[in-house]
Amino acid sequence: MKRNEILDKLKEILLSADAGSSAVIDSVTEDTHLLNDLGLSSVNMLYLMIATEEVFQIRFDDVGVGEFPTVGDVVSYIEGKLS
Amino acid sequence: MNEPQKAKLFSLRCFVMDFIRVSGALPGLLWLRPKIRYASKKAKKRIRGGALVISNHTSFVDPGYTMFVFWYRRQYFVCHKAFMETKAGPFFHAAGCLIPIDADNFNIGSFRAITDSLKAGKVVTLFPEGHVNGGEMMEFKSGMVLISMQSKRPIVPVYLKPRKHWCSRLKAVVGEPVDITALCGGMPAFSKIEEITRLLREREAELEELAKKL
Repeated sequence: MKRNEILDKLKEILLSADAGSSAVIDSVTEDTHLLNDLGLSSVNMLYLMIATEEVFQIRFDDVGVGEFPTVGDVVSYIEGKLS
Repeated sequence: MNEPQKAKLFSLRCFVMDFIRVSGALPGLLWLRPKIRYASKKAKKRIRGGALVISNHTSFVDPGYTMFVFWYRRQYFVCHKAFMETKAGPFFHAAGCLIPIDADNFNIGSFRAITDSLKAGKVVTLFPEGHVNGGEMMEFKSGMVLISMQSKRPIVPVYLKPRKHWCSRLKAVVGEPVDITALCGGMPAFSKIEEITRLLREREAELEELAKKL
């Protein structure tokens, strides 16, 4: 799966979780900061990790939510897991 | 399936934890003289299987108090990682009573440890305010909703009335179990999680009102 496909799926997760308006989610890029730009709390991040596991059929290692400051970091992690 | 664990009062597998429970029971009963009220008949039913107990956090001995409220079950307590740096932390951790979490950088491994315990039919207790309050109940953190939702186990709210004097009685009110899975229905939006968190805070406030009559 390519990085832009992963990003699109992540946007879908964010949209279904109501993490912001569709305009905000559409403007999400790999540089978008999850905490500062989208205003996600640690619980929201955890939710995102659970949803990501379900959608991509992967399992996160024992990592903290702070290890994914940007959307790009999440994309890289998923890409690594899928490969 | 929410299968209950065998209701043994003492088990060699949980030797240290059970030793604390059994040896501390009589002195604790004499000292605290627990007075427990139930919000309804449904609340009076004993917890069977896994359940997430939530309580207000008035003092550092609250875990001990909740052990008297649900004396018939072993309890596992979610605690802040910083507690592990105290003298008591490693002792209770070795006894198998604690599930430490890093509140500043919440770890998915800790989250799984909690949900796995609940799925295994254990009773896990956490204090959703995050830390000891200064007398007035604070806002709840929403992690408990996610835990309950993922483990598909109910949340049992309990209110512990702050003890004014070292020899005053322990007074607590137990509320009805809240089935989060029924409230959420799949993966809810962030706003729904916040809404359920507020609902649980309201339930706790109702129990606080009942506790005033104790």
